[in-house]
Amino acid sequence: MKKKNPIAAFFTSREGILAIFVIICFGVLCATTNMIGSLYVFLRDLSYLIVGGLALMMVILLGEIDISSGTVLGFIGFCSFTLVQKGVPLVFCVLVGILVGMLNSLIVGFITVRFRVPSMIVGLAMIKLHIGLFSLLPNAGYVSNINPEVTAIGNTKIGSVPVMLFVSVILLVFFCWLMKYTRYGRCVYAIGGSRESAILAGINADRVTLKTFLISGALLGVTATMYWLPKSQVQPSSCVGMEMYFLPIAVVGGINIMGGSGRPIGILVAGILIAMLQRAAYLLGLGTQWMYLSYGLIVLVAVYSMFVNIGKKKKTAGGESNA
Amino acid sequence: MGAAIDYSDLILKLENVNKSFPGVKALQNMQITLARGEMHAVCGENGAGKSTLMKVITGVYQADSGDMYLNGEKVVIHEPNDAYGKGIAIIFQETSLFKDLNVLENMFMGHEPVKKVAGFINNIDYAAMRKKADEIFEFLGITGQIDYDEKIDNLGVAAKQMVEIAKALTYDARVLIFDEPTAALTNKEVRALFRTIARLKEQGMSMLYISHRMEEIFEIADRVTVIRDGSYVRTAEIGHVTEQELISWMVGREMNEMYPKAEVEIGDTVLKVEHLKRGGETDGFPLKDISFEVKKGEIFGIAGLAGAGRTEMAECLVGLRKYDSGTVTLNGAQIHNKNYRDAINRGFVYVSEDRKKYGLVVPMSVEENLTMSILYRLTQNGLIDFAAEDKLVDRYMAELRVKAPDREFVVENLSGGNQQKVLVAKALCAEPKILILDEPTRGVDVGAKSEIHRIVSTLAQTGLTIIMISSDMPELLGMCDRVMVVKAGAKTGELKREEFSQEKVLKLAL
Repeated sequence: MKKKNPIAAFFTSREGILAIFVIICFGVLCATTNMIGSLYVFLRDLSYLIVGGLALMMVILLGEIDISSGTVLGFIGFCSFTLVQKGVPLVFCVLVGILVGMLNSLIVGFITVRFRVPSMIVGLAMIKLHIGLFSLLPNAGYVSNINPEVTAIGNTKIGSVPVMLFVSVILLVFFCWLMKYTRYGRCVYAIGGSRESAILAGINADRVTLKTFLISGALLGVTATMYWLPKSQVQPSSCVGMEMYFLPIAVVGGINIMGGSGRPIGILVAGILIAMLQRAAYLLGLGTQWMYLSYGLIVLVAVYSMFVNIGKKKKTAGGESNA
Repeated sequence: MGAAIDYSDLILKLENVNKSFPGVKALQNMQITLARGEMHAVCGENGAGKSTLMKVITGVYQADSGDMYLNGEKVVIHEPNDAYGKGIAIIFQETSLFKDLNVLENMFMGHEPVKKVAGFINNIDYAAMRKKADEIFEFLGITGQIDYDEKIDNLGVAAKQMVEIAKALTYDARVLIFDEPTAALTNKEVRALFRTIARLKEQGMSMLYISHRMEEIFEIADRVTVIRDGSYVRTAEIGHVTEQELISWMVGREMNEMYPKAEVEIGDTVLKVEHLKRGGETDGFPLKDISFEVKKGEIFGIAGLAGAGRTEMAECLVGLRKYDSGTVTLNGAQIHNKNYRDAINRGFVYVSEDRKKYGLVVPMSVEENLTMSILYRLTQNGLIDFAAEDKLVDRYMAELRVKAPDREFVVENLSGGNQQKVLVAKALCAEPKILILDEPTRGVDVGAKSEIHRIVSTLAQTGLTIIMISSDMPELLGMCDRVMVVKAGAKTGELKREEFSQEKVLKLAL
């Protein structure tokens, strides 16, 4: 068996081709706008987008989805930053945030597994629950006057690289490893590929599904922390629709929306693309409408390319005789 | 039966019809003729091509070549709607009705009579529908037996079938095709159906009737055509043929392959199943009292027609389905596999007939598929030992001669035969004591088939107990030490190797 040059292999893969496109776009942006000047903001956005993308990737690989992953960020933010205001050490506040995220995902996962309700529907219900909950919270969940020292931690940077980005990269590397080298990762792909077959291979599909939702929830906890920490206030209602950033990252990153295939590295590439679009719309002075338009187009192209790919594979399988 | 039929007055004629699917020739030079007003039965073993032939006639499939004549005129049917338009309708085994719509809506689905409102809005003309339905029900002699406004979901199987027939007649069908219509009916319902069929015949309807049930064929058909392996065998008038002759035509499938059946010393009884029963109300077919025992080193075959409950029985054994009563004894101790995990722990491995749905995860690689069920043995602290995995996979790929470029090759892109080998290899990785193979060679080419036979035979030599379910009779008779025949969920017989003959098995199965 020939071992291919890993760099060549990467740049001929789906993620690699996307990466080349992203690099070109980045070059063009740097050359034509003040991209370098706003590098910090770009990388700060990238930090939480990567983690949020990973959170969605995990459930999508299973063939599930969690569309409450946007609004839950607001709820997590409220919980952990209310504690911050009360003077609880930041580490505990973050841990509470992670636990809240896990709890939310556990509910979605449990209902999905136990009652065989499509997770899409459970997520839909959760969104409405969250939005309803926001208005019941004191001050509509609005947390202001956060201790500037805490906000400063969120804005710590080395050059124009926010420290948070390191956390994201560490998580990314961890998940690349988790999905490739562990039994758990293999089981996730198997269940996403064919739940029935996985069960016939003796995999406890329900348990793995719940575990995955828990992991996804923990990642959402981290995402929320990264999202709110650099800001001086938490405004939960501004999170409505955030899942529509994470979802495109997963889809554009090559995670098959039906489950079973896709690599974490795709999240990095697609995360950069989405974060860049956000910046580009701002730097070019185009307004958000252009950002949304380009999102939409890119997701359509990504989904199209995925299905064209699947179609091709089917053809070879049918046409091939006994190779 | 009734007036003499003029067999030269053909309403439908098919000549030299060929149809192939990747790797399989489903129909070869098929021919069939249907005279006006005739009831023509079509029979053949599982997989003989009956359903494919009907699908070609009704436009579900397009023939690769061949001619079809309707009333002496050459016709080409591109899609099911064409067939309806030309007066050919089929009543499927499993009804194709919309269960949430009512009887009337279903009968006219897709061709509702309409009234123009305000010149351009097509308004469904319920009055016209009722009038036409009245005529059809009158024609069928079932006036008033079914409420037009009843939801399909609330009807029994027999009533649904009547609605299907009535629906076919709304197309002014002149040729009706029945695909095993009595499979799910009680005796009383069968009588009612036959009365309706007799009435249709009196009115001059031409009908094709697919069935396995000999007594039905002899009761209602005028002529019978036997097909085998996608080819036409012969057509005979019912009065001039015996049941024995029909069976011998059906089994004419040649034993032209060499079966690598190795002599194995048969050991003690390993698995004993007694009085296994399950109701079939929920899903799948019922089982009515099945008992058998399998010995160590033995290949135990299970024969039967599709729908006899073979797969259901296997699934009960490995905990994929629940059974109502009966006992399973493994090496003298009574066991009950509550789920598949239990079964694996006791050394059972089941290789499903539907390899895409229950077996392989096709977007994953050969390696990942092979080790899926034994990953726990290759992992330490949750980490996969890749070196050990590679070694194991290489061994099984070589042993079973899986033809893939490398371990990382995605299963989806393998040929059917190689996919099947991967599936068998996956089962072997789990080191089973009892291996249950359900249609292990379905949709597999000849080369891969004989390799799978070789593998199965070698496995039996190593002392594995194998239960093999197959619709391929030469394969069963060539490979097995004993064969049990099931029919409609009940055991109808068991044959030892020295008593094997295709006729005997088929006779027990029909």
